[in-house]
Amino acid sequence: MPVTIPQVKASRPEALTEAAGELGQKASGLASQMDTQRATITGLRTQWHGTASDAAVAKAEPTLARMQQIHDALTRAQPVLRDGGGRLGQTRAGLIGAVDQLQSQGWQVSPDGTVSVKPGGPLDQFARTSPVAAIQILQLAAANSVGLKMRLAEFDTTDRELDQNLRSAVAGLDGAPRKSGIGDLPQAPPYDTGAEIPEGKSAEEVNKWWQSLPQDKKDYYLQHWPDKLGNLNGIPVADRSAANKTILQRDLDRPAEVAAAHGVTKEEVLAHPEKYGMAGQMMTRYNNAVKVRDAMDKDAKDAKNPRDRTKPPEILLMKYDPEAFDGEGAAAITIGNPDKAANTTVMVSGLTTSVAAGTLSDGTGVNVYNEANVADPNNPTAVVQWMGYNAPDIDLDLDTNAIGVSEPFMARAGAQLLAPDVNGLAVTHEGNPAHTTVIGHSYGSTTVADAAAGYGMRADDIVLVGCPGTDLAQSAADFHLPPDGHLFVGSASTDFVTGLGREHMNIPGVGLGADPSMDGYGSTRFHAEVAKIGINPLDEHTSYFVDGSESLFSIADIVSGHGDQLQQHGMTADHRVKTPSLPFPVPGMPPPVVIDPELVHPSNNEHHH
Amino acid sequence: MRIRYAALLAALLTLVGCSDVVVNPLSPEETRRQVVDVSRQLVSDLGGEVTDAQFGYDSCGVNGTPPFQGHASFGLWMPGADRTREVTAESVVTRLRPRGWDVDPNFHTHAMAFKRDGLKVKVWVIPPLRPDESRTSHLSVDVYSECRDTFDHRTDRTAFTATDIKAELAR
Repeated sequence: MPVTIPQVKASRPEALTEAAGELGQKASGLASQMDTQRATITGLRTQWHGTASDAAVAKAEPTLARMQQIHDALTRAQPVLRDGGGRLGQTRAGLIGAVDQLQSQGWQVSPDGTVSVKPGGPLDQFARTSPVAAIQILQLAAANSVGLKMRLAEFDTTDRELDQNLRSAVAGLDGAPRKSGIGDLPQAPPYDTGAEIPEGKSAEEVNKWWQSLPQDKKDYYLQHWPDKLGNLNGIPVADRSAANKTILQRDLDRPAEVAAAHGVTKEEVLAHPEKYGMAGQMMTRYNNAVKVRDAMDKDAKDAKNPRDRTKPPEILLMKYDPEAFDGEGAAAITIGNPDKAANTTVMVSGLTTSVAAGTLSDGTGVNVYNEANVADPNNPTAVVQWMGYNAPDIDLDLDTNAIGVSEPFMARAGAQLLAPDVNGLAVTHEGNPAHTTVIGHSYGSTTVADAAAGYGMRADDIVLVGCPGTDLAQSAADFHLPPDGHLFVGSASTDFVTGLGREHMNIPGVGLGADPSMDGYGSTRFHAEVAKIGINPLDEHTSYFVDGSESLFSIADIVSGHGDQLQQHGMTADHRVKTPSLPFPVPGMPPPVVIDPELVHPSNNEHHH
Repeated sequence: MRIRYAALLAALLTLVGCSDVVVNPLSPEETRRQVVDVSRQLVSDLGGEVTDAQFGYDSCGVNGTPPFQGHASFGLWMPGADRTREVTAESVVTRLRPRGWDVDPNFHTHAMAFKRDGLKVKVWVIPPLRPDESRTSHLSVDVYSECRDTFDHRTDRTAFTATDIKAELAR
């Protein structure tokens, strides 16, 4: 449990320095007592002989040794308390000063150190003037939050060090019971713990183990250990799906079971979960299970087999962890089976998306599936809609997730989760390797860039749409694509999120990195303009998968293995360029600006294969 | 200029607290009627036989939120054509153009998309099949309304399920 600001405020480090003073007095008091004791023993030895005298001396000497031990401990503890108290006091003063200063500037500070805009205050008013102002405020808030959290962490560390040092100083004073050896413990009777399931092993090892099992043993594990198999890379996706659907159904059934046990209706349980022990974790599982079921139903409703309407694609649940990310949930739904398809594409969403928010039923996955499979009806493309990381929110009432908008830590954490899931697909794929494309949208494109550049994700092609910056990747070369692989970028000129890269902001150290649609980055840019300027400024950021759009058309070409046809289809676009400037500011000279040739490119939603 | 315009709108919208504005909303029933009407007209003008047909509502918003569009999807046999073989896109265009359908002659080999009464129609010509596959229709058609239905179809799950409308189209 991290330390909070109220806890720090309530703490009194000066009491520790006072205690150090008291310990000093006690130690010198003890020293004089010991002197008296020693004199007494010497007196006994010289003036009293015999058995009784020997017994008295034998009894007094250990007491003296114990007194010496206490005295030494007090002497050691004294500087520990004095120094530690001093350091804690300094950290506390710095933290309180920083909090006071931020509050006087119009920020509000939550107990965990998160800094956000005070609703209705001047900062809030400024943030509402434009999306760019809102992002600037978010970035300031993020920087301030990081500063406060570092101070809190420093306080916590000092506190822990002090505790440890104090324990070492007084070690040996209390007679702790000796630890009993492992052999003393009663042995539990052997039973199936599923321990033979190679959790934590590589996807290759897991796959080897699974393929070595006879079918009845696979069935046994799927029936008894679905929770260990469903999210295990290396298990074929269809089997993972069977396991995950078992757990999903349990989560969906739970309110009805609880209702039956209490003799009430399911509606009553859902209306008052706290009365029936359903509140918290179980409701989180149920709510996210409903979102996942709805999304799979939606995909089943809309996904079309371009060769036979009576044989729609399989809808598989490749990942299911409804409690992940503080209840926002993790899941991945596939349209078509990625282990069998000639092409596989993994889609990673960004800002404001989560299982709990309903992202998986937004239709983006099924739009990509349908367009890709008519782009090449002879070589099927499977789509994985991957909602497996904690994506940031964009609300002005900042929480930790909102800070992620302008800090890459959530993208890097997500990249660590994404890379093994994508690489695992290559292990379970049957026959010839699939052509694998990873699509990142919005903050998801930062996550994809980090996965490729920093976490070993392997893909044949990568598509970034609505990208706010590529963080760890400085250029297309950092994506480690094979020689014939390409980095494709779709950035609508009117999508303000694509104008948050470092070339646009001109604020060192702020933002999520480079804009991949810039000239010289090494990407292939495709047309991704929106057909009509919507009334909501986020429309331009959320229109990359709209049916009939240039962007969806281009993405379908790429993921179906025909990225080389973009040029032929008239879909390639010119890169953004920055006006020349001197490496130092010159008074009176305008700062360099980014020019986007796509601003004059007209578009419509009539692009279909 | 467009950027400035969007930013200004953003500020205005945040102030009034709304995002997805539908200027002329339609009820779910009106949406459905529009889509079914155009679908029936297409079936009738092609003289096709409906193999299967579903209707549902698709979200046009972020994260599956309103507004929604109506969406019909159906399979068709072309009249008089060999049911073991593919038909040509030209044969479809030839039947539609004289009946007032605004089909762009620059269609792709397997697909065409056009507008009718403000609705989008996509016709997919099922390609030649492999010997191990059997043909179940000549065409696959999708008809979409505009995104004007503001009812939240998540609440009654009509956003996630389709209804069978074969009987309505085949009449």
